[in-house]
Amino acid sequence: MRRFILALAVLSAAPAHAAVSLADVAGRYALDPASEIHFAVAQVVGAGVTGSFARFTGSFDLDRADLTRSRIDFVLSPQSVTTGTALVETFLRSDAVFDVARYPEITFRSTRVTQTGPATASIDGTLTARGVAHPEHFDATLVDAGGGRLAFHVEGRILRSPYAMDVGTPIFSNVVTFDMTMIGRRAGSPEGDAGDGKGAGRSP
Amino acid sequence: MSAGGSWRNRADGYGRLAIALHWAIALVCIGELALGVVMVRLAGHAALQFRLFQTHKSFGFLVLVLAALRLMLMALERKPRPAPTPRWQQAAARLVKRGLALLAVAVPLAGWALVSTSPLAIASYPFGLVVVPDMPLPRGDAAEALALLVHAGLAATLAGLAALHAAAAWHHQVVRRDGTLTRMLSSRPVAPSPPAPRRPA
Repeated sequence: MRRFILALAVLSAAPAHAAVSLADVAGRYALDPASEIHFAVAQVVGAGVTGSFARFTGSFDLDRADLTRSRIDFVLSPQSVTTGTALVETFLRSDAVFDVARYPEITFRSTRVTQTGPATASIDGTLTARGVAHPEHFDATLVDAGGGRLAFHVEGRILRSPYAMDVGTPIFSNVVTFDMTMIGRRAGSPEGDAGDGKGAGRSP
Repeated sequence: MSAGGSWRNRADGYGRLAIALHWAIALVCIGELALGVVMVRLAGHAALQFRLFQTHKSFGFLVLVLAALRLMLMALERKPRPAPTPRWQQAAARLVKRGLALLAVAVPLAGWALVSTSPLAIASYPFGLVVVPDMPLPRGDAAEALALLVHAGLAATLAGLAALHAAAAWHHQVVRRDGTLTRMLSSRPVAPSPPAPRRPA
């Protein structure tokens, strides 16, 4: 945790914010709608499918005493997928992939957060998509902090097959790579929970 | 395809290679026509539709290879003597056969063009064995629509000619009994059975 705080201090020093202390960063953050969820599926040749999700909600609790007890909750609306091609989006929303009619939400709940470097953490958790809950792993890097705001760059590689979403293999890779910027806005601060939810994304 | 025959064509019949290619192309083309008609009508079954499109592409490339081989073979090999029919029928049969042989190459080529112009740009990976590059064609809705028209139009023409060809073969076999169909079933020389006795109309 000490190294984490150090990283926060270093990062926050750059934009000339006041040094961040644990008291400043610990607590509950609501996921800001300005966060970005990008994904890519490679193709055997040529461009694969790249896109993003526009609607999601979430929160993370950074535990003051023990970072490993921090919790991350995330709910995504697969209906909000955009790829730039209407046909592809329709296909992704159909029962071939997300089946949004039956499974309108994809959720992730962390089970363990492990600090791996001064500004990096490894997040293990359970991803539930299309009715299947499966352990997954993401890597987070703190990229900005200050003013009740934390920004993480989060990367992950998710196999489609455990969720019965592996249509199109082997032309399209079984691996989905996620490239995300998760921005948290301080919620549930000592001033109370009045602001909680304001910073959350639109409900799916 | 029986033990007594040869690989090469003879004056009195087709060789094993020609027979094998003929039926392989015929079977795959029938399957491809059926698949092509069915797969475009599965809008509500996206995953199945995707798989069937890829299956159609895989077998399409197989037809292209087989039909190209057959064209080469037809150019190199002697032709068995025509069935003892009027000259106009021999000419018609020859025309239909040439048309079929060319269309068996042209239809998959047009399908390849269709894949190459589709804005979806889904790679061709027949049977998951080898990536077939797209043709250097402009990608877009208009080009795709044109390629689809050509592919479907040529396929319908192929189906029509194949029906004509099969009906003629059936006529030779059942009515004329001149061994024309049999020589495409076996490379062993077959003595034609005597003509059917004329039945009163």
